[in-house]
Amino acid sequence: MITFKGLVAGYGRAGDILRGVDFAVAEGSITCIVGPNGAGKSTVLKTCSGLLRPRKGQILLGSQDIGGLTPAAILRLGVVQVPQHHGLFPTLTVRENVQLGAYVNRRQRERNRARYEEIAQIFPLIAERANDRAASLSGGQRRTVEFARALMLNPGVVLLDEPSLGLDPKACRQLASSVKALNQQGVTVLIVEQNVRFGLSMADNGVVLEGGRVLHTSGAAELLADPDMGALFFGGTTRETQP
Amino acid sequence: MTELVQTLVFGVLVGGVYSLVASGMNLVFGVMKVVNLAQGAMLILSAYLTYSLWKAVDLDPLLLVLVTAPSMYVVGWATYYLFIERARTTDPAMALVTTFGLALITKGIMALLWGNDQHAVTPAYANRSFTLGSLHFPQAQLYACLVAVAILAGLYALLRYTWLGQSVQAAASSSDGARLIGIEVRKVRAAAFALGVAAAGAGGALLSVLYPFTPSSTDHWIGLMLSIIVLGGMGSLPGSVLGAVLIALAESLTAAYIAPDWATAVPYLVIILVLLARPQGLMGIRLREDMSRA
Amino acid sequence: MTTTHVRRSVIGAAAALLLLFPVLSDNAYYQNMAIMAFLMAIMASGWNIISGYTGYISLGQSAFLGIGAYTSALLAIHLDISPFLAAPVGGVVAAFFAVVLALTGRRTRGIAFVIVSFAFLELTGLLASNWTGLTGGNHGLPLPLPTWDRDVHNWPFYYSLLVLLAVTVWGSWAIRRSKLGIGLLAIHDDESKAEGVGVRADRYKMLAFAASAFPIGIAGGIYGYYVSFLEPAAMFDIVIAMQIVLAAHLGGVGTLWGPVLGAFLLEPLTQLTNQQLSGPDAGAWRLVIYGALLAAVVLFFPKGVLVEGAKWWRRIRGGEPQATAGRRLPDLPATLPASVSERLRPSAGDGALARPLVTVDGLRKSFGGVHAVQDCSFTVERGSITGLIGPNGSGKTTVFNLLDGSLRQDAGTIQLSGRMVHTLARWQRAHAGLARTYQATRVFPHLTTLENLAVASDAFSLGRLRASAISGSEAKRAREWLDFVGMGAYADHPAGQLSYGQQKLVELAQALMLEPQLLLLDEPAAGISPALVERLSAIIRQLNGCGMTVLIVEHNMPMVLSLCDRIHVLAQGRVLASGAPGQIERNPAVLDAYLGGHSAHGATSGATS
Repeated sequence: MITFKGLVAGYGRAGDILRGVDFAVAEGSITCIVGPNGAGKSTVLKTCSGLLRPRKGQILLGSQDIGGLTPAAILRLGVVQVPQHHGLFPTLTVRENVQLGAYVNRRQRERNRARYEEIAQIFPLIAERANDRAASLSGGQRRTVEFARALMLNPGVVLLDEPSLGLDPKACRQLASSVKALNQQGVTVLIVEQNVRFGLSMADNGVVLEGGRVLHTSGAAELLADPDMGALFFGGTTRETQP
Repeated sequence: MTELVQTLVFGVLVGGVYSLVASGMNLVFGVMKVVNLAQGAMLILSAYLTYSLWKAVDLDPLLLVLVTAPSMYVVGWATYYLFIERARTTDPAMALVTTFGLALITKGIMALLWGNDQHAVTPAYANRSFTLGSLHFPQAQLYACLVAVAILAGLYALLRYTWLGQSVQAAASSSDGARLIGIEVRKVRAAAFALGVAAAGAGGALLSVLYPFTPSSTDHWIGLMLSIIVLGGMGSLPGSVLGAVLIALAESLTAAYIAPDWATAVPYLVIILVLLARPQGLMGIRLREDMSRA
Repeated sequence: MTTTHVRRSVIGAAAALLLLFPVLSDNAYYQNMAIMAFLMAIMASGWNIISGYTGYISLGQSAFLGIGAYTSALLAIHLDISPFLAAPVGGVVAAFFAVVLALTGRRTRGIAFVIVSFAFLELTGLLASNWTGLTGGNHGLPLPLPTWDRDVHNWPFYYSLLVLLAVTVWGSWAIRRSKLGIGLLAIHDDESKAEGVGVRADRYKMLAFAASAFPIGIAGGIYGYYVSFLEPAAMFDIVIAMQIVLAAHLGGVGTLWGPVLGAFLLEPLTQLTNQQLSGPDAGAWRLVIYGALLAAVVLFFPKGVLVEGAKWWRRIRGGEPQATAGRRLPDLPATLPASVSERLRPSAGDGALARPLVTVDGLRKSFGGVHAVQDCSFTVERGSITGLIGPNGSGKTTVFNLLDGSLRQDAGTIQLSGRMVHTLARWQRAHAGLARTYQATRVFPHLTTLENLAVASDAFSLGRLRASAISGSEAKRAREWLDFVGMGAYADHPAGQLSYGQQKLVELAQALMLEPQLLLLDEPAAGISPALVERLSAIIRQLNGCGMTVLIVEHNMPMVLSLCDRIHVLAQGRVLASGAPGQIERNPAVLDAYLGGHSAHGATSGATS
C-alpha cells in the first residue's frame, strides 16, 4: 500500500535525519513505528504527508510516488496526517475545526455536511461540544477532535503522530478502540509512538527505527515479546535529535 | 449636559468609522504578526481614488466603497508578493521597516498625482444634519458610520463563516496544522494581507467624506490606527471596535473641552500610556514572546 | 598589510582630511554638506546603539534632535547664554525622555517598541507646534544669530559636530566592548536566554536607549543654532527618522563605522536631490526616492556596505576562517581548577546544609485546558545529583521552565536554599544561584564562545556594566571553564558556527560561569555522540564532587542511573515515584509509564526512601 524506498530527508541546512529508510505498510494494516527519541519517526510521517520534501528516495502509494507532492495533493489521494499536538485552531469552534478537515474538498457541500453528521454520530463529544471553542477542550478531547477531523475526507490512509502524548490511560484506551474501529473499515493506519507498548498493542506490524534507518521489522506481537526491546528503550541509545 | 451628550453622539459615530479603518491593520497583525505601517497611506490613497471617481462619475462617494475596496485588495495582494513575503522571511522587524518605506513611497506618489493641497469630497448632504430634540446627527457621519458597521459585520462574517475566513484563522493559529489539512498557508497570508488593505480601502472612501485630507494626513491616520489596536489589544477584532470608540470619544471630548489642536495628540498619548501600563491592551492576550508555551 | 592596518589607515586619513577641510576649502556648499553629514552620522551612530546592537528598532529617533534643539534654544534665549553651552543640557533632557520611554520596554518586545518610538516622535512634534507659549508653535522660534566673523562662519558648527561625532563613535565603541554592550548583543540574539544567565534586560535596554538619545540631543542643540530657526515640522520630522534608519542600514547595522559610512554615502544624495528637485513636487519625489531606497536596502542589501564589503575583502584575500565543526575535542576532560573548586565548596557550619537545597511544593501550570504540571512536589538534596525522568509530555521541561522563571506557575511554591524564589524574575533567580542549559542549545550565535561566557552575570550594578566585557580575572575564569569543558581552543569562534555537541559544552560552561548553587541540565545527552555523553558524565561528576547540586532531565537511562543519587519520575505532571536508581529501575509503575500504558495508580505504589 505505502512503500518507503531509500528515503533520505532532513531539515534546512542541517544533516539528514532519515538516511535511507526502507519499509512497506501493508494495505489494511495498522503499522507502528517505534524507536528512541530522535530516531526520525516523526520525520517519516512528515515526508509522507507532504510537510517535508524528501531529499532522495520514493514514497509509493500503490504505484504512485507521492514524495514531494504538496500536502493538498496528498490529502486528495486520501492520505491524512493527525498532527502531534497544537493541531487544532483554538479560536474556531469544535464543529468548524472538524469541518475544516474537508478543506480540500470544500466545494462538495452536501457530501461534507453528511460526512460531518456521520462523524458527530461516531464521536459523541463532537456533537456535545460542537459550538464550543476548541481552546476550551482538554488535552484528550483535543486529540479526539483532531482524529475526527482527519476522517472528514474518508481517507484510505491515516498517519498518527504520537497519539498517546499527554493522554491519560482512559483517553488512550478510547483512542485505541477508535483506531481499531477505523481499521476494521479498511483504513490503513501508520502510527508513530513513543509509548512502545501502547503503540504495538494496537498494531499488526512493528517497524523499529534508529538513527534514521530501519533496524528491524516484524509482527507487532513478536516485537513486544522481544526481550531486546526493553533494553533498546530503557537503554535509550540516542544518536541524533531533531532540531 | 446637552453638549456632553452631543459630544458623545459624535464620538460614537466617528468611532464606527475608526473601527473599520483600524480593522485592516489589526487583521494583518493577527494573521502574520506584521504591523503594516503603509496602512495609513493606503487609506489616504483610497480617499484620493474616491475623490477622483466622485469627480468623474458623480456617484455617491459612500457607494464608491464598492470600487475602492476591491481595487485596494489588488494593491494589497501585489504588495504582499512584491515586498512583504520576502521581508517577512528575513526578520519581522525588517518587514515593518519595509512597510514604513512603502508608506513613504505611497505618500510621495499621492503628492505627485494629486498635489499637496487639501482635498475633500462633499456630497450634497455633507453639511446637513438630522435633529432629534436638541441633538444633531450630521448626515455624513451617520451614513458613514452605518456603512462602516455594515462592512465590519460583513468582514466579521467572512472571517467567521467562510472557508477563506476559517483558513485565515487556521493559518494564523497553527501553520503546520493548517498545512496538514491542505491549506496553502502562503496564499492565505496573501489573501489576509490584501483583505486588510481592502478594509483600509473601504475606510478611505468613508473618511474622504468626513475629513479633508492631504498626503500628509497619512501620519495622523497611522497614529490613530496604531493607538486603536494598541488600546483594544493587538490582534483582537472586537478589541479594535472598543478601542476605536474610546479613542473617538477621547478625541471629541478633548476637542470640546480642552482645545481642538490637542485632540490630535490623544492617539499618541494613548499609545504610550497603554504600553506603559497595560501592554496587552483592553482585550488582547499578553504579548510576551518569552511566555510562549514550553 | 592586515585588515586592521587597512582599517586604521583609512580611518586616520579620513579623520585628517575632515580636520583640515575647512582650512583648505572655504566652499560653503561643501562645508554645509559636511556639517549635515556629521549630523546624520551622529544620529545614525546613536540609533545604532539601541537598534543595531540591541535590536530594538526606533522609528522616532529624530524626536531627540528636536528635543535637544528646543531645549538648548529655549535655554539660550531665556538665560542669554550661547546655545553651544546649552546643547549638553539638550542631550540630558533627550536621554531623560528616552529613559521614560524605555519603561515601556520593560514588559514588551520588538513591535511595541517600534510603535512607541513612532508615537513619541509624533507626540513631541505636536507638543512643539501646539505649546505656542513656549515654542512659538508653527510660527517658529528664531535663535540669536552667531556673532563671529562671517569668513569662519561655519567653523564652530563644523568642528563642534566633528568632535561630537568622534565622541559618539568612541562612546559606541566603548559600549560595544563593555559588559553593557555584550549584554545588549545578547539581548539582540535571545533576550529571554540573556535574562536566564543573569542579564537584567530592562535596565540594559534603558541605558542603551538613553545612550542612543544623548548625543542626538546635543547635536540637536548645535544644529538648531546652525539653522538659527526652529520649526516643529522640520525638527520633529519623520523623514529624518527614516533617513537615520536608512543611513544605518546602508552602511551596516550593528557595526561601529557602518552608520557613519552610511551617513556620508547618503548626504551627497540628499544634497543632490535638494538641488535637482525644486518646485512643488520636490518633497514628493524625495519621499518616493527615500522610501524606495529604504525598501530596497532592507530587502536586497540588509547587511549594508561595510559588512558586504568586508566579506568581499576577505574573499579576494582568500582568508575565510577555517570551519571548525569537525575537529576533535581534546581527549581527557581537564580537572577543575583548584581556585574554582574552592569557591564552589559550600560554606560548612550552619544547619542549612542539612536541609534540601530545593523544595518544590504543589506546583501547578496549565496551558489552555491542558494540565502540564499539577500538584508537583519534590525536593533536591544539597550536594546531590538528582534525576527527573518521565515519558514525553509528562511535564519535565515545564517544571524546568517554572524553576528558572521562564514560565510563571499557576500555583505552588519553589524554595531555593530556604528562600522563596517562585516570584522572582529570571535574572534574579540567576543571581540567586540557579543556572540551566536547554534541551535544544541556546547559545548566542553571533557572539564568540568567550563572549558567550562573558554575558553571564551574577549581580547587577552600574559599575559592573562599565567594566570591559572580558576583563582580566573574569576572562581568566571564563577560559578556565572553557578549558574545563574542553572548549578552550574555540574561545574566539562565533558560537553559532560550532557543532551541536560543541554548543552544548559552551552552554554548559556559560551556566558554570554563574557558579550556581543549582545547575539544571535539560537533556544534556540528547543528540550528542556516546563519547561526548561519557565526557559530560565525567564533567557532571567532577562538578558534583566539588559540591555543586545538579538537577538533570534526561532520557538516556544508563546515564541517569549511573549518575544520579536520587530520581523523581514524572507522569502527567505529577511525581509518580521517587527513589534511588536501583529502586526506580525495578519499580513496576515506572516501567509501565515508560514502556507500557500510562498508569495513574503508580503514585501510591511508588517507592520512597
